[in-house]
Amino acid sequence: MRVFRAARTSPGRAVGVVLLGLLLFLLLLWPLVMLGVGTFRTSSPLVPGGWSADALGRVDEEATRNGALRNSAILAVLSTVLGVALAVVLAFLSERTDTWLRRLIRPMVLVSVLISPAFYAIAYDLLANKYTGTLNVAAQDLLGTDGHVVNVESWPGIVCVSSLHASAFVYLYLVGPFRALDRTHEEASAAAGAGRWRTFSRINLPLLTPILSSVVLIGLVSGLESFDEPLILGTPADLGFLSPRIYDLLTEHNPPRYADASAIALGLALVVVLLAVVQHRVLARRSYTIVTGKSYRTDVWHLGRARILGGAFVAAYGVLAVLLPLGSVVFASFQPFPGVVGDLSTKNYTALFNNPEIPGVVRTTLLLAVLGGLAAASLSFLLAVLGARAGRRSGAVLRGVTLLPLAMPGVIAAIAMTWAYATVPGLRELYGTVWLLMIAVVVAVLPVTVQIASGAIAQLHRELEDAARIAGATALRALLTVTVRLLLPSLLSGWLLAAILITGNLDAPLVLSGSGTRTVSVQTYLFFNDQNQGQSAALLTLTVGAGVLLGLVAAAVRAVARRAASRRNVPLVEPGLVAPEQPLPTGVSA
Amino acid sequence: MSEVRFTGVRKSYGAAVVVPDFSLDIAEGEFVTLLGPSGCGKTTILRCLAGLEHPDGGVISLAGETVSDPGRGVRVPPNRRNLGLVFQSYALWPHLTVFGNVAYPLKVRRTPKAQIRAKVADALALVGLAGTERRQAMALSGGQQQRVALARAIVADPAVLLLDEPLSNLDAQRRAQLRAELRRIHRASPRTTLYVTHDQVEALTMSDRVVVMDAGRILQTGTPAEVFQSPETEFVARFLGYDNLVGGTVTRTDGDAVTVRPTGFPGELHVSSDRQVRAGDSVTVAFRGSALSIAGTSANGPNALRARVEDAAYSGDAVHYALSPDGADGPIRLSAHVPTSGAVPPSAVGDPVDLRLDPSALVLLRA
Repeated sequence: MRVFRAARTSPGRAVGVVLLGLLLFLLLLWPLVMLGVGTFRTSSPLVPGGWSADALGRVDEEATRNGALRNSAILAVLSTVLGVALAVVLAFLSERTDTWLRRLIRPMVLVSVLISPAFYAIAYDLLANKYTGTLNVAAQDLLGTDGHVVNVESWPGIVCVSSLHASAFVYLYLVGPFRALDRTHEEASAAAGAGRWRTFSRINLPLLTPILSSVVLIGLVSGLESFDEPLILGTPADLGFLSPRIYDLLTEHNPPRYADASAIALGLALVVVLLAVVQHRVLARRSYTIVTGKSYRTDVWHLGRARILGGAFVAAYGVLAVLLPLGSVVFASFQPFPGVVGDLSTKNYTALFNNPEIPGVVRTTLLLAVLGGLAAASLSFLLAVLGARAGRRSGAVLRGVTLLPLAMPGVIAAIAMTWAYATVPGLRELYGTVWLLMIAVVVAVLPVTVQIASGAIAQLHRELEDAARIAGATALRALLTVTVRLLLPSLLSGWLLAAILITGNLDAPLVLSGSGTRTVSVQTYLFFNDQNQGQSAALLTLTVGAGVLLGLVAAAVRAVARRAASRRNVPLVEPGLVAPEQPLPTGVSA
Repeated sequence: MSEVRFTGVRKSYGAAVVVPDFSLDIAEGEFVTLLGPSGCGKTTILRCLAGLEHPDGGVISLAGETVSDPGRGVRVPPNRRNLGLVFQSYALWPHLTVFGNVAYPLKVRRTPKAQIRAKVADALALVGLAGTERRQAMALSGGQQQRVALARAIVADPAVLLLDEPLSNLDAQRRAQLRAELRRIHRASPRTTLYVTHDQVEALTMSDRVVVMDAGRILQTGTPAEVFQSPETEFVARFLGYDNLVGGTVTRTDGDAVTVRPTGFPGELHVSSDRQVRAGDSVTVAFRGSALSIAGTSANGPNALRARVEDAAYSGDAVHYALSPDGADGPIRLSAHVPTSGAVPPSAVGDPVDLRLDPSALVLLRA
């Protein structure tokens, strides 16, 4: 391993390698190990206790209570199939056709990604719950019926809301490969006598197999781990799911049943690792060249009259994914009570501003988002740079390590972090503070930021840094003045995205927040759970408003930078989730 | 004393041995070219010298100082080897101006500001880009970008200049221009130079010495004329455009004059060669398609033979013939490039032709 051989020759480097190794170990490996250990403890992490394997014996019973295991598996499969299908259609329409409204797809998807799953769940609940959902109330008024027309607190509701949100993430992975599809492949198929549908299904889809199998895996993983929609929409319908079940074991019992929660979490983590290995094996044996590099054409398909049909589809997506949820939340924030259509007022906002706890909540959230986002983005770029520069074996080790957080979505990360730090003297002080929460949310967003980082690195030619070394610069100076400088735009957008995702993260803070370290998303959920839908909606509106404002500022800065760059003819490294030549996304926690 | 010395350098990637055992001395001020097909290990050698790759064994020294010796744990990092390197991809930094790119090596060396300005201006003038300092590097054309890369490589007056296929991303016209430019710059200030290319024209026109490589080994070393006119092995002959290789047996030797009976068709080939052979040795005779001339009348005398035209391809200034010698007992094909001339109409497929071969254009290869 080159890293370690180099360590022999340079002491400074050796220290760096050891420090980074220790950091990765403490952040990613140690919590998983301790999760395994915690399964065999009889007490909570903070309390002395004995050893027992009883939790393993109960894991079957606990994981299947209320159909949790079965429901999570069904939800994973359904939301993956629907989400990927929807994303494929959207990516195809936006990148490969001249459909009406196609330019709206990308911004709408971006908005959808930036809105948290908890937001979707609450928004759709406000819109379409059985009793006070705006749609049902409106239907009652218009049709004069009692009863309800839609009920989102149901199997179809959970699946649809989950799929809608999943499709946005999947789209981000697909958009690059779809854009890179070679038009000449399609023309060759047409010349061979194939119709459009045959060309799409026999040529385009198989070419995209690597990326599709990746997103299917990611979909299954996040479906299995899914927390927000099952908790918010499934609980009222008395449907059990794994992640909420884990949360239940910790919060609905006194003392919290840590061993049982850990056992389920450990099982889930193992399944995720297994899926990742399967995917790696499957893909490693095939070789696909989607992007040939040199001369390919990417002209779009002319749909003719079907453009209108495509446009209608895009419009429907926009209504369901953006307009309805946003509109429902904003509307609810002005309602005095759910289900009351008249009497709109700003009293929910007034109550929020007069709530003495809110400033602390905002401070905690900002601290987590800004610092945690920066930490996640910096660590990801460091790992991506090292992964790209290291030798074959140490590079593989690094890439493997970056896969670990996939196995630790919010709830699991929260338990694992608790075991990992609360049981170690010295580190125990972290428990109950915002810093343990910080570690958990950083780990939760790492898969996304690593993806951004490796996509950006893939666009940077290694020789740019080599040239600096030859010119006489030390390794550090070459890294800083060339590589880091050129990656800065991607790093900043990674930071922004991480901050937004951390703000929307509900599961980790829900488990780890004490009363003094509540985040905006936890506060939103607590309002909602306490039947205070109005303030919940008002807080969501303000959060999204702040996010939109931040996004607009970022977009403006980028536009100015781009204009300056194009005036000088500088090719920028495109910040984005996935570079076209990046066939293997490391995953996403949606 | 030699400026660059490779002694027994080895390099593998996993199980693939790229360079098994490489030794070469380059004298001060000498322009040496590593010539070979892609994948022959030439770039690996250059990158080992630059310090961008690390050999598994052997010693590399620069100006008398050992810069790489894995056996003793010596590995001088690239930034302390005082080299200039021009990359195939130019590798200009897109966020810097021309000045920023060229000044970088000087800034790193803490050169005073006033001197930086002057040296950058000198380097840019030398590559024919005077006054372009304030332009963005990426706004220049490919040829200009490569000149900037060259200026950056020489601005700090490195001991050795390395060029890694510097012309292969340029079109034919720019390539010829920049080739001449490189020659001029080297003449103006001779600097120890290691040039890596797969293009024989670049190797022959610029080098003091050409090193032909294949599979990580040196096959032949010599001046451009030596290598071009007397390749020693079949590989070198083929790589340098000898398209006819004829096996045969030596029948007679008389000083430099060697007579060979070709295998597979009747006749005798008279070769002038200083290679030590004896009657009865099996040898290979190599010659270029341009060494075959079509005689107007029935040919006789040394190296005359009759053949039939199997294929003729017109390419403007020459006709390329595939010929089958009369009396051949197998599918033997010779190829000939005959310059087109208004006087002699090109032969057609099926025509019998009389051929003559210039004895001095025949090369006897080592068996």
